[in-house]
Parts: sequence; C-alpha cells; structure tokens
Amino acid sequence: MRAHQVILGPVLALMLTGVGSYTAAAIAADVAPAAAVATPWQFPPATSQTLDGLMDQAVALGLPEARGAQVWRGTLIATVPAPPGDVAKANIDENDPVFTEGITRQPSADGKLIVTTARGTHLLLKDGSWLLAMTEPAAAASVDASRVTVVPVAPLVVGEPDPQWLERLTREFDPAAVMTLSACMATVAQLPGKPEILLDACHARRAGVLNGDACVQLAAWPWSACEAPICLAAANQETFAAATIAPKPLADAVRAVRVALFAYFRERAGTQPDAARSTAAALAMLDSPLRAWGEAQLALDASVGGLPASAPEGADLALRLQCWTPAQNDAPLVQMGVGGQNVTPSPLLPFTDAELPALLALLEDPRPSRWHDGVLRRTLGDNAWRALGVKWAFDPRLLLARDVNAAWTDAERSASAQAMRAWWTQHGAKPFGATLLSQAASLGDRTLLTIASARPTEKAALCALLARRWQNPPAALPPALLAQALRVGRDQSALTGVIATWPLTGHLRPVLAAWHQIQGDSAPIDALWAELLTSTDAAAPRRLAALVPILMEHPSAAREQQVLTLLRGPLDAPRTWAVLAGLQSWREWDDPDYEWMGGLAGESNPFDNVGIPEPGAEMRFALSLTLIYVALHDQRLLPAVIDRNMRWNMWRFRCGDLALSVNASDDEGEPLDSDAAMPLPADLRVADLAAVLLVGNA
Amino acid sequence: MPWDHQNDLQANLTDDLANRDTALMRLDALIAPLARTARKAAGLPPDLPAVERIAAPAGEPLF
Repeated sequence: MRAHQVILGPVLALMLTGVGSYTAAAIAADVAPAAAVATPWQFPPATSQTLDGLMDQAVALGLPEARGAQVWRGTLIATVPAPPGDVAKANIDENDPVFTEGITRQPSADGKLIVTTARGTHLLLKDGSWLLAMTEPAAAASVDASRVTVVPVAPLVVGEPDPQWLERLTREFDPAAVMTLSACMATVAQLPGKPEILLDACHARRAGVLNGDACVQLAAWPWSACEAPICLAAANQETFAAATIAPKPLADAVRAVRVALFAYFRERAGTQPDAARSTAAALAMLDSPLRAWGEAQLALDASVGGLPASAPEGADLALRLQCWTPAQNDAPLVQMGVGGQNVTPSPLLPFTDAELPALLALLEDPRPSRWHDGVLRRTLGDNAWRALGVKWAFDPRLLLARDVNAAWTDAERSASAQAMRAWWTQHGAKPFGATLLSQAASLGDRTLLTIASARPTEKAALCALLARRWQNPPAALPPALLAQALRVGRDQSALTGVIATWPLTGHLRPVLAAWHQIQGDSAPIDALWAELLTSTDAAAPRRLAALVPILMEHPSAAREQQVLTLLRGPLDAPRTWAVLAGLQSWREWDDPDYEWMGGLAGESNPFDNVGIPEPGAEMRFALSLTLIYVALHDQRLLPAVIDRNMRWNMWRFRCGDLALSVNASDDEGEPLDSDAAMPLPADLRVADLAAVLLVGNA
Repeated sequence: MPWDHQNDLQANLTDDLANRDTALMRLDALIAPLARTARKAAGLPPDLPAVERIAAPAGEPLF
C-alpha cells in the first residue's frame, strides 16, 4: 500500500467534487473511503527524469512531439487524397497495424479521398498538426475540427472511472490516491488494459495534463501483468475477472514505457518505407536486459515467415506448436496475451497425451510461433503453455502456486517451466484428476472455484472441500467471491447447504438475502428492505437501489406498494432516486458492492425481451413494467439537485450517493455527436428519464 | 422493442417537449398492454395504478 495523500489543491478539490461520490461508493467494498485529501500522484524524481529522457529520445527518432500540445475532445474528420489505384485498400481493416479504436476510415463517395473519422481525445501539436485519438498523425490542412472542443488541462482529469479497474486499483494505492488516479486515467482511455493507451498516457503526460504521472503509472500496470501467454483458462469472463483480481505490485513504469515505445517503432518498421531506421529506433528504446528481448522479438518477426501456414501431416511436436494459432471455438475460453485480449483457442490440441512430457520440455523454447497476440510475437514455448492451459482448462501455473499475473520475464518463464516439470515428475504418473484433488487443500478459495468451474469431473469434490472450509463464513470473504461460489456450486448441495446456514449479517448479508430469495425465501430480502427504509445510514439509498432489481424479479402486491410509495416521494430525496436507479439494467449496474447481482441471478435485465416476451417470462417484468408505466406519466421536473448530462451514448444522472447511467442509443460505443459531456435539457421530467430507461434497456 | 420504434424514440427523447410527449405516448401505448399481461402472469391485480394521461400534441398521430 502506498500513501500519497497530503494536501488537496483547489483544482483537485474541484475534480473530487465531480467524482467523489461515485468513487467513494466504488471503493467501499474493500477499503474504507479515506478523507477526500490527495495530491496528484507523482513518480520519484529519478523515474520522472528517465521517462522524460526516453520520450526526448523517441521524439528525436520520430515519435510525434506532444510537449506544448493542446488537448481536444470530440470528433475530428481528416481527409486526404486516396492513393492512386486500389481505393478498396483504404478501407480500415482490423489487421491494419495502425487500426485504433476510435478511428474509422473509408473512401469518399467518388473514391478520390480517404475520410478518417476519429473520436475521443486528440492532441493539437505545437506544429499545427494533429494526433488523432492520440495515435494517428494528421496534417493540419487535412483536418476539419469543427466538431471538437478544446479541453483545458484541468477538466481533463474529471471522468467516470471504470469500476472493475477501480477495484483492482484499490488494492494497490491508498483510496484517496485512487480517486484521483482513476478519474484521471479514465479520461485518457475509458477502458484500461489496452497496451496502446500507455503511449496515449505518455503523450498526455508530455502535454502537461494534471496527473500525467498517474496516467502513465496506471496505463503501465496491465502491461506487466498480462504479458504471460495464459492469464487464465476459465469457463467464462466473469470467472476470469474474479480470479485475476489479486494484489499486485506496481508495474515498473519505465520498463513498460520502453516496451510500448519499442512496439511503436516496430509497427512503423512494418508500415513505413524507412524500416531499417524504425527497427533501429525500436531497439534504441530498450536497455539491457530488455534489449536482448527486443532483438529476439525482431528476430522472431523475421523468421516466422519461414513457417508453413499450418502444420503439415506428420509434423513433429515443435512444428505443430509453432503453427498453432488461436481460432474461433466455443470452449473453453482462454484469456491470453497482452492487454487482456480474448481469444478462443483452436479446437484441436497440437499434442497428444503421450506427448505431454515432450511438450513440457518445450516450455522455454524460444523459436517463433505463428501466434501473434496483437502486440507480441509469441514463442513456441508460449504456445506450449497455452496448449497445456487449454488441455487442462485452467492456467497450469495455478498448480504451482505461482502468481499468474507476474510479469512474464525470462526469469519468470524459466522458473515457471522448471516448477511445471518438477510438478510433472512428482505427479505425472498418476491420473491428473486425482492429483488435482490431492493438491486441492493447498489451493486458495478463488483458485478452487476457478478450477471447479472449468473442470466438471472434479467440481463436486472441490466444492465439497470448499464447504468444509466454509463451515463458518470467512470473515474477509468478498461478496463477489461468494456469489461466484453460489453460481458455480448451484448444483452442489454440500456447498450450498453450508452457506444456507450462515447468519444473515455483516457485509455478506445482501448477497445471502438475494440468494435466499432466488431459492424462494423472500423473508431475508424483505427484512433487509424494511431495515434500509428506516435507516439513517447515508449509504442506505444506494443499498435500497441495489435491492430493487431483486424485488422486480420476485413481485408481490406488497412489494409493489412499497416501491410505488418510494417512487412517488420527493424527487430530491435519494430514496426516490433509489427506485429509478434500481430500474436500470444490471448490465449498466456500476457499483462494485453489488456487481455480483447480475452474475448470481443470471441475465437479469428487467426489460429484456420486452417486445417479445418469452413464454413464462412475463411475470419477471410485472413490477418493472408497472413502475416504468407510472414513471412514464410522471410530469414532475427533475430538480436541480440532480446532476445530469449526456456522455457518449449515455445519459448520466447522479443524486447524492446514487449514480444512474442509461443507454440513450441502441448503438453501443457510438457517440451521438460528441463524446464530450453535454448538458441535458433543463426541462427534463421523470417521464423523460423513464422513457430513456425503457428505450435504452429494451 | 421494435428497432424502428427505438430509433424513432431515441431521436425524440433529446428533442423539445412536444416531440418528447409524442415519444411518451408511443411508449405508453406499447407498454401498458405488456404490463397488464405481465401482472396477470405474476398474480398481481391486472389493473395498472391510476396515472394522469399524457396530453397529445395537436395533430400528432400516435403511430
């Protein structure tokens, strides 16, 4: 835990006013919110100087110069003459190395021009040219900037943090710093975890945004965490997310920036005429021992062309592993690669059971493979790890008690390979399932659940083990992990039977009450609801809101009266707002305290299939449709106390501790006009909000 | 919700008050029968709670 809290500057105070209520709620699950006191997080002076020097060097070698740039937000349109000949090539292609989320490119109607539309954050460089979406250079003359707005440096730090990202961060930083950093980072990129945002963050820092150091540190984090070939093999994304949120040290930002700059120049080497110069620049970004790694990556690139597109009949194991690339397949999902890229593996494993010992000998093999994860060229050894993970349906390193999020350095790779071989020497002769069970007692709860969800053959035994551990509820059990256990173990009476005896108290009470309701016992939720209705706790409205979707799923006349009474209450009261917030789709539910709910109850959007009800599904909508019907006729103006704006395709409202986001468009990810926050009309009524709730969620 | 309604409503909901009321009337016509059916299935009284009607903008057809 690092503490960086000191004194709050006036600009930060302004910023925290905007995001404080949200972030305080978001981090409440694990870390008590600290007083809203923080200064911008900063690198130690030596790190700062190293980063400055690196960027100076990169700029001298061709990286766009962001120093002195202005930050703009919105939609930029750049138009350049199409290259003579094949206009179709101008169409953007995801395999195009310069493809960037937020940028689309297409030929004009007459085919003479290429029109590039870039949305998001852009830099207007000091020389008058642009860096579209902080990534793609564009000459000043080609840009129509009529739809962008300049964003002063200070407001840039105000943004909506990504809750899952935040939860991970709370384990790294002190809460006050998290408030600052997450808001800052989320502005640079809404979705952390993409490697390219590290360079965006470096540009932002160089342009002088407030909290530039924090931007770089946060963007550097997923880089070092996700370089391993297999982060996890899991049955679904939720399991992955739950299993990989674990305490981690801060990333080595300098190392991460070096790798990002290397990747930048390496890409240029593939697309620009001066390949040799770009290759040299790429290597110049690395110091020892990274230099050797970079040279190996470039050598892999150069030599992979000699591999066949697919392994020929009778190819040896090494060649099969070299040619094995991820392909579309239903199961099991394997999360792999830099930046949390989701790839489903090939259905055909490139090895047989008899070849497993031979495969283990190849875990450190440095020869190239055809697997390129979007940033890194993977080695044969990486592909061997991936194959092992697909074979066993979970990350093999879980068996070795190794940190699956450790930076995938040569040392880590080597140590992991040695440990894997040692494990095999000790256990390989026995049936794998039996060995797994014999080791289960030494595995953590989270790992047990991950493996149980991925391996039906051992699920019952693993859940029974968990049940023995959980005779008494663990004091620090996170609600999300309990929800995961209830979901994974829903057909395991040994486990659910134990959990059913737990007292409905403490931080697990909401998830337990919801689970009892799903089992048909409505008393715990009703008791909790009644308690919260009269509670003076400031968090009570937020907790009420979280219960609303459960009440909607399990309607009764009494519950209808209770929520209708709340809905008709004063509009500046958070409890009234709780009903409206509770009506939003669970897909939009952004409170980590309650993010387990959607997972526990399944797809629980109260408005799913409103137009085409599935047989028997109507009752699920009885209360939510009734409340929406009533709200659609509520002509009361939303009071001034309600914050409201439109950002991207979302309407966002906030009342006290409650945030509400609603899709205002069916086209997810597309901004309406601009992604900058826009004020909504002053004459918005409850009816308008209800309509957006319905339309956006339907 | 049918896509054409959704697109139509989406445009109207950020518009002026009269257009928003038109959108609300269309939603009302869409939702009320669905809500009654759902209430019946859930064992709730079929009648929806009493509400004030939305005044139709002059000359505006419902669909």
